[in-house]
This record gives sequence, C-alpha cells and structure tokens, in this order.
Amino acid sequence: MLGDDTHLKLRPIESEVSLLGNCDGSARVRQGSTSVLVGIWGPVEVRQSRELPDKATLEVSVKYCTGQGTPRDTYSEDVVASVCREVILLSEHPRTSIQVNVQVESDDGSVLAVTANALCLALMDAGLPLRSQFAAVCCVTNPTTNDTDTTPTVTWDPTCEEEGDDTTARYLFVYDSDSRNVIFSNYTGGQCEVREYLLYLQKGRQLANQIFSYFRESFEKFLRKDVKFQLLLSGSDKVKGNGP
Amino acid sequence: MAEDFQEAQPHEYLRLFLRDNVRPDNRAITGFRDVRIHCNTVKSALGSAMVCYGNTRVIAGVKGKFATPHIDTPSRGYIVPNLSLPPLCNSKYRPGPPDPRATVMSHKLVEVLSGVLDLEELCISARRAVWALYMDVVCINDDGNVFDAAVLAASAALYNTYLPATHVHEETGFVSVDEEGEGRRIHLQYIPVPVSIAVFEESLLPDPTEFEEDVVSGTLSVCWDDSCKIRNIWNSSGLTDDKLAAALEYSSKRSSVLLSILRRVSSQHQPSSPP
Repeated sequence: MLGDDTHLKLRPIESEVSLLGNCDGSARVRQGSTSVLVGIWGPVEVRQSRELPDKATLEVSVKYCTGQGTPRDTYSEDVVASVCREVILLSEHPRTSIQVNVQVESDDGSVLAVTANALCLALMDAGLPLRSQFAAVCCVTNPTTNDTDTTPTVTWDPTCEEEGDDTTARYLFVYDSDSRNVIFSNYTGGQCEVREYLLYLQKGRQLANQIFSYFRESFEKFLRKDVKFQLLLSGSDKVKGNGP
Repeated sequence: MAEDFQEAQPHEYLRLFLRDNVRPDNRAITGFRDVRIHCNTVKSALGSAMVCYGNTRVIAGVKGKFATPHIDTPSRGYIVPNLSLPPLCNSKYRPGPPDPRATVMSHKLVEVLSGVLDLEELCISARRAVWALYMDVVCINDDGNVFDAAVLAASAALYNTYLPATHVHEETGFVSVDEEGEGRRIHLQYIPVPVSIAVFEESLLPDPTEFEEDVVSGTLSVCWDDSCKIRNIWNSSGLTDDKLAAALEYSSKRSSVLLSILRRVSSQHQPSSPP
C-alpha cells in the first residue's frame, strides 16, 4: 500500500480569485466540501508600536466557522504566518503592514491545506513580491485491519470523517514551487518512522505538482478576463504614454 | 560596539561567527547547550521538574484534582496541559492576556502529550470519579528553545508523578486521599523527547538561543519516543530531502542522550510523598 499510488488523488478543486472588491488580493478555494476564503491587505500603514524598520509587519487573522478566539485559531494563525514569512519578501516593504485574513467558510477536513492553497492564490492576486508560490497537501494514515499486510492505509486530502479524532496520524506538507522543498510540515497522532515520513513527503510532492498546474490554469483563465493584462500582451504601444 | 552591530545587522553578525565555525555563545556549530534536569522541585505538586538549556529555564508541575468523567467515557481521566510565558522570563512578553506564542506552544504541548498517558489509568471509580491532571509549565527564563525545555520538563514531571491512594465512600461517592494507602507512579506509554534544530543559510544550528531564533529562517522541531520513532514534527526549515534526512538522524541521536539523562536523574530522586 505504501508503494502504490492509487490513493494519490485530491478531491475536486474549485477556486475564485479577486472576488472581494475591497481587498488588495483575495481568493476562495474549495476542495470537496471544505471552503476557505482569504483576503489580503497590503502593504498598508502600520501602527507605530508594531512598525519594523527593515521589513513589513505581518498581521494574520484566522477565523473558523464556529467559535472565536480559541487556541485553534491562534495556532492556525501561527501556521499561516510561518508560511507567509518563508514566501513573502517582507524586506521589500519596510515600515508597512501586510494583513492576511482567513475565513474558513466550511470545514470538511484538510482545512489548513486548503487555507494554504487559498493563501497562495490570494497573495498572487494581491501582487505582493513572493519568493515562490506554494501548495499544500495533507493525508491521514490508519493502521490496516488486514493481518497479513501491515502497511497502513493512506487517505490524501481527507474529509472530516476520514480525519477522525486526535489519535489519527495526520501529515501536512506545504511545498514551494521553486525547489519543491517543504516549507512547512506538521505530523501528529502516533508513531512514525523517519523513512515513512520522508516517503509521504515525496508522494505528497506529486500531488503538489498537480496543484501547481491547477494554479497556473486557473490564474491564466482569470488573466484572460483582465483588460489591463490583455492590453499588455497584445502590444505595448497602446499602453505606453497616457494611461487608460 | 559589538552589541550595536548585533542589533543593527543580526544576520551579518551571525554569519561572521559561523564563518569561524563557532556560534555566538561559543559552542561548536552543531553543539547543544548544557542540559540540567532537576526532578521533584515543587513539593506541593504530584510530580514536577525543572529543565535548564543553558540560560533557558522552564518548570513543569502536575497537580491532581478529582473530577467527574464525561458521560461517553466513564473511566477516562483528563490531562490539561498549559504553558505560560510570563513577563518575568523575557521583556518581549507583556503583562495581560497570554502572548500568542504561549497559546501556540500550549496547543503544541497538548498535541505532544495526547497519547502519552492511557487516560483509563486515571480512573478512580468508574462514572463517579477520575483524576484530572493539570500540567502547568512555566518558563522562568527565555533564552531560546523554550518549547524543547517545556516538553522535556513536562515529560520529566509526568515520569515522576506519583498518584496518591484514594478512598471512595461507597454510598455518597465522596472521594478523598487515603493517607495510609500506597500511591502509585503513573505509567507512560512513551516518554516524548523534543529536539529542535534551527536552519540558517545552509547551517544547521541545534538548540537555538533567543538571538538565533529571531534571525534564522526556520526550525525543525521533532518529538521522539523511546524507540527513536517520530511522534510529532513541526518543520519550517525548507531543507531538501537528503538534508532533512540527515537532520532527522542527528536529532534522533540527541533524543537518546536526553532520554538517558532524564532516566538517570529520575532514578536518583525519591518519589514525592502524597500531600
């Protein structure tokens, strides 16, 4: 089971970009029934107490559909901030603030992975300087009930039901598009050998490649409708000199 | 003058040290700080430990209270970990509501400790009374790598926790500590041992100090168990696969060293008598 790739698939992905008129960048990604909306403001003015002399201050807020101000929100904010710090070139905008707002619209499993995917599209939409794009996948493993075969069953992009409770082994991997290295990953829920972890990391990379091609397609579709971008493509004579 | 340079150009400051194959606190690049573990430091707790990684100091204590079990799990007790970073440990933590860093570390501690105890062991009388263990972890001084010190302190505290004997009144169900009875040590399914390695521009810096933590680009934090298997990973290191494998190997070797220190120190102490 560890060797074969029949379980290596994601739920159907849908996305929309630039859907929030007031934000600098926004995106919604839906994987199966999990839907996450990310809105980005930045670079904007920062409160003096939070100002940093050499880079932008990152302010992240994550809200789930139920509950408010729980430790889970704070932990998710830390994960999102961790990914942002790896990827956004914060030193390009010193003494400003970049605000990332995440709203989980519906939670049917793999929330952090879907959040990271929506975050990537929103950052691209906001036009913030990025080191690379990134894509996230997660999986759960369950010990198999078959006596003869001891390899666990793996479910990629699990639903809430497949995620089970705290005792299920859960992996989250966020890969960057440049080197395909893992920029963030998390594992909890039981014993895991080093070679297992590295194996799932490699398998997850194949799924991340699928997500990167999906990002490319969906962003190209979005740009085809963008007038300024089409003018740029068709010929620079029309865009030079006076603005539209 | 060196302090001004450190303040103004922290990356360059660290780079200059690494070029000479040394860390700012005079360790070898891949060296760890001295670890000191003291057990049973808090006499009023059922189990406690203090762990020092260099100047970083964390105290963990386990307090036991009687509680009613949840209806769905009539013989399961509770373990409630909480990590606090009070202003006294570092001036970057302000008085008032808990710092988000403390909340995040508390959440990670909950993840680490879930699965360490078989909660059925904390049962006193099914459906009526169970132990609720409150694991309070307090950082006394933050000089970097607080999470590692906190998890190790929590592990050591649990390892040395001694549950007093209890007496349940048959009719009223009133639970009290039985002074004459003999208590028991808690059995841990495994002992979580954390090892964190920070990554700065191709160098692996294990056990980062506070200054290094602010400068590095990412950290690989792993909790190992007694059989050198991974129990929890938080990896923001950005390492390639083979460098990651090498870092994990190095981390697991260190975990065996820490585990043997923990066991040796615990065996030298008498278990604390019931309060």
